[in-house]
Amino acid sequence: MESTLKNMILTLLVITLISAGALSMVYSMTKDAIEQSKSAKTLEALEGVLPPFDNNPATDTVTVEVNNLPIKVYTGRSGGVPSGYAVETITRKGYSGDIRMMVGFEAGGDIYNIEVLEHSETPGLGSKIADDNNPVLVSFKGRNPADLVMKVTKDGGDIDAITASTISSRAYTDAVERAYAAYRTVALGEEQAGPDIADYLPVTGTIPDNSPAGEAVMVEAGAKSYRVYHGTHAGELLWVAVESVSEGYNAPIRMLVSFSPDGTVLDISVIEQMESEDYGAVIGDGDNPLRASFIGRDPGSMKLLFRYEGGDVDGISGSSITSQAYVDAVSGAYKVFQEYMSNR
Amino acid sequence: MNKLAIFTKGIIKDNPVFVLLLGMCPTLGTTSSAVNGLGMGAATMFVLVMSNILISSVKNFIPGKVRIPAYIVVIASLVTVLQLCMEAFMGELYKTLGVFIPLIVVNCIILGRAEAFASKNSIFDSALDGLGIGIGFTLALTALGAVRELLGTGALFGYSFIEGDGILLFVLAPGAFIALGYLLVIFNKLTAKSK
Repeated sequence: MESTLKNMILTLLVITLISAGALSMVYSMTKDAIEQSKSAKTLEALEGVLPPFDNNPATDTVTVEVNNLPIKVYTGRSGGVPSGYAVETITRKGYSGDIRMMVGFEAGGDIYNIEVLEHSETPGLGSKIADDNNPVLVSFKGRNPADLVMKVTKDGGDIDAITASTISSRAYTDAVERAYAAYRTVALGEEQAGPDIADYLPVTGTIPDNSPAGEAVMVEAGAKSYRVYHGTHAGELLWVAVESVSEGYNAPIRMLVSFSPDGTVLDISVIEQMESEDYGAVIGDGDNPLRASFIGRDPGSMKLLFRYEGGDVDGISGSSITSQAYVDAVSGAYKVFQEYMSNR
Repeated sequence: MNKLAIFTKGIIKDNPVFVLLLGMCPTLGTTSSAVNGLGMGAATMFVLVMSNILISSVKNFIPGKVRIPAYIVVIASLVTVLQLCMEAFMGELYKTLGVFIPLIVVNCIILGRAEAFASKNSIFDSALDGLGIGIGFTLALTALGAVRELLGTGALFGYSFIEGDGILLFVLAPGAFIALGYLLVIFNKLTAKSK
């Protein structure tokens, strides 16, 4: 066919229309089968880790937040009474990425079984975490985490690591620890003890005469709500502290960024973080370069890029993702500060 | 070229992996075991035959200047259909092949045959060509997968032949390269004799 503009446009139009039609048809034809396949996989995993049950645990779920990560807990019941809990847990500390696991607890807390749902660990080494009767699994199976020190023996704990796969074994342990925390929240109704915010509020020469920790207000900026604390003395505003959460390398990072009324950064404290030791975890140090970049400066007048990009922020070597999360948290907190001040 | 020749050339004379050296990415990436290689080869063969047939049917209606975008839309749609069907009805294989299924779209063999053969020949001949090349691809992948599985884990198609750990190298990418290299040597030696 001749390549005239009309022909070319017409042909491509027809081809893409037919393609779109065929694809939507196949999509609707396979949608149900795909859903079924997915829930069959979940049910299979549940049956593998839970003590015998007669309900459908896939419909009896609760999602709790552990380390700011959403963790799903399935309840298996026998005759209406919970017989076991299956926790779909995750760790970001795998050697090659996330590891997703299903940990099954008996009602009393003993681990019934653990199955690895998804991992990218090295074949023949870390991949052994998914094998039957591997050392890490055996260390956990049948034991109650309350009686275990949940670290690998190399780190002083009770868990046997897989030879030459310490990192994968540590990650596995991390995931089980998270699962246990979720179990405690759901099965035992325990509130998770969070950090005391009073430990992170800024300290200035003047002591506030209000009770900052108890007087938090919620401020909305963007599509999110932020908790904001403030300190006043004799009616004058001393400082404003904004609680900011950003997406870190391993898990969300929770920080408290405090501003003087003129907008300069008074203090930055990291409340919760799970970043890699010696790398991102350095943000927890009092004298890390990121914090130093911001203290005493007004984020509004700074170029919020890293030095190598021509900006004003010193990042942490080898931790670009964590450093970026830190910067995002501070700039987000600054916007909230401005919003708070404009409403005051 | 007679019909039989069209079909058989894809298996030996124009074998996509050992002669044309096309589609190396899935060849190296999915052949950690014989059954994985077989599954990947079969999936690719399906797309190859269907795309050859479709493109050959509409070859007179596609203006020369837009033939590449047109072929790619056809191939991508076929692969998406394959992916949806595999996810729905072949869950295990779908999970094993993972990201390599959508990567079939960029497998040079498919676009290559569309451009080199299907756009210039009859529907039946194009189907034969697709089938021949597809079988050649599948045989190559299965062979490589078998070698890697046997040397890497001591098993073949899941049945353990040699107890204990295998040579880990062959389960990983560098081993795939090495094994492929040696298979190429053997293939060339065998076909050189018959020339």
